[in-house]
Amino acid sequence: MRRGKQDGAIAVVDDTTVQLITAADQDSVTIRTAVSGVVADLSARLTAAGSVATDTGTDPATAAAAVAAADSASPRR
Amino acid sequence: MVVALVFGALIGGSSDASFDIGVVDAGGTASTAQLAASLTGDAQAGNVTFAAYDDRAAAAGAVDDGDLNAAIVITADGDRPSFEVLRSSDRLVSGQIGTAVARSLAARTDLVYLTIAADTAVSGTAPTAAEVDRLAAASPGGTTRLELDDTGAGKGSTPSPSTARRWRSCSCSSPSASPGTRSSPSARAESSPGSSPARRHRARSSSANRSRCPSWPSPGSVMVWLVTSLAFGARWGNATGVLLVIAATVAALGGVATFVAAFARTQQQADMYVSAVTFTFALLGGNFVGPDAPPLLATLSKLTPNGWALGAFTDLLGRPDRAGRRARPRRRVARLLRRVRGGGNEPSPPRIPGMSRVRAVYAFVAAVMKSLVRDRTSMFFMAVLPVVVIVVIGTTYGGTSTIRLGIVAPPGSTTATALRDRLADEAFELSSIPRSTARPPPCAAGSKTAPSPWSTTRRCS
Repeated sequence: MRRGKQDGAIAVVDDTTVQLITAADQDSVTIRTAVSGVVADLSARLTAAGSVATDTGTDPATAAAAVAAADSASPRR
Repeated sequence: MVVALVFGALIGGSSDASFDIGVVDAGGTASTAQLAASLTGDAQAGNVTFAAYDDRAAAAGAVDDGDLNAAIVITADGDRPSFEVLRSSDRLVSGQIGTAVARSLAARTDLVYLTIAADTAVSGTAPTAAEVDRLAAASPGGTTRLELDDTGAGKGSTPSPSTARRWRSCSCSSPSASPGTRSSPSARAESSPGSSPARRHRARSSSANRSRCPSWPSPGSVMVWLVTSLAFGARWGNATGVLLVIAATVAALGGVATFVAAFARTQQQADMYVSAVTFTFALLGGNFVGPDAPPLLATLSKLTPNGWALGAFTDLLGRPDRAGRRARPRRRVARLLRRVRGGGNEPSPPRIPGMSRVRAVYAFVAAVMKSLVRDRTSMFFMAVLPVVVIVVIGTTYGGTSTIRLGIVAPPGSTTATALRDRLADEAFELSSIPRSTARPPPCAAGSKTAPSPWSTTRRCS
C-alpha cells in the first residue's frame, strides 16, 4: 500500500452516502473491509435515530441525541 | 537462506489480501452463539475467512503463532454482547480488519438496543414486540442508513475484469485473493477446523503448485522460447529437447515447491517458503549471473534444478537440430559447459583410503567455504546483491502497516466528523482533501452528474 500519497479516499456525498475511492487492485478490498466496520457502526446509530424519530414523532436532532445518550449510558467494551 | 526468507517475507507480505479471522463464543448464551454462527456459517466473506475456536486461549495462541490475522471473542455483557479483538501489534492492518468485523457485528445489535433504549427514553414507553422484531430483522422501513457506495468510485473499488484475470492467471499470487469468488479448496480446507492434517497438507501443496505456475510445460518458458526463436532468430537447439528440458524443470521445481509447502502451516506460509526457496535456487543456480558465473557459483548451480536446466540449455546449443544445423556455442558458453561438467568425461577421482564419507563431506564443505570467503565476486553475488535487492524491493513494495485515507466532505458535515472520530485508529492515517483539489469521480451508470462534495460537477452523458 505504498503507491501515491493516499491508499484511498472517502468522499462524504451527503448524510446518508459515503463513497470509497481506491485503485483497482487487491488493496481496495482490504481498505473497503477495514472501513466497512466504521460505516456499519455509524449506520446503526443513524438508523436507530431515524426509527426513534418515526416511532415517537420527535425531530431528528432530538432522536439523535437520545440515541447518543443511550449509547453513552451503556458504553460497549 | 536467511536473506531469502527475509526477501520472501517482504514480497509475500505486500501482496497479502486475504485475512483469517478466528471467532470465539465466550458468552455461552443463545445470542452470542447466534452471532458467532452468523460469521462461521459463511466461512468466507470477500477476502476474510472465518474459523471457529473453542476458547480464547486457543485463538490467542493462533494469533501469536501467525495462523490467524486476528480473532474476535464474543462475550455476554448484560443484555448487550461485547466484543474483544485479539490482534498482533506488528500487524496493524490485519488487526483493523478484525476490528472492522467486530464493529459490523456490534452494529447489528446496537441498532436494536439503541432504538429500544432511545425510544423508551423519548416516549416513555417501550417499543412493541412487532417493532423490535422489525429492527432485529434489520429492515427498518422509512428510516435512513449510511451506505458505503462504491458504484461511482474514482477508479472503481472492485477489481476490474482484467485485474481479476491477472490474479487468477499464472502470476504467483494467492488464489484466495480474488474477491467475490468462492473460497478455494485450500482455503476451505485450512479454515475447516475438522479437516485432517493430510487434507490440509494436500490443500497447501496444491496451493503452492498453483501459485508457482506449474503448467505443463510452463507457458512462460515456451513463450520466451517461441518469441526469441521466431522474432529474433535465436537458436536454442533441438526443439524437442528444449520442450523436454522445460517440462522437466517445471516438474522438478513443482516437486520442490510441494515438498517445501509441506512444512508450512498456512497457505501464506507456504507461499513465503516457496518464494524463499525459489529465490535461493535462482541465486545459487546462476540465473542472476548468466554464463559468466564464477567457479564456485558454477559448482553450486549443480545443486539446483534450474542450474541443471541452464546446463541442459547450453548443452542443447552444441547438439544438431532436426535440420542438421549445429549451433556454435560461444566461447564463454563452452567455458561454462566445462565448469558444469566438471571435466566432462574424465574418470572420477579414486577414493582416498581411510577417509570416511562424512569426513569427505566435511572436507568438501570446508573447501567450499574457504573458496567462498576468498572469492570476492562470489561474496558479492551471494551476500551484497541480495541485500541490495531486498532494500530496493522492500522500499518499493513493503509497508502494509497503515492505510492512508483522504477525506473530502462538504463543510460542517456531521457524518464526516463522526467518520474521522471513528477512523482515528492506529491503522489509519487520515488527512483532509481540500475540495478545491478534489476531482470528481467518473459518472456512475445511469447518473447525469457526479456527486456533490467535489469542487466541480462533471456532467455525464
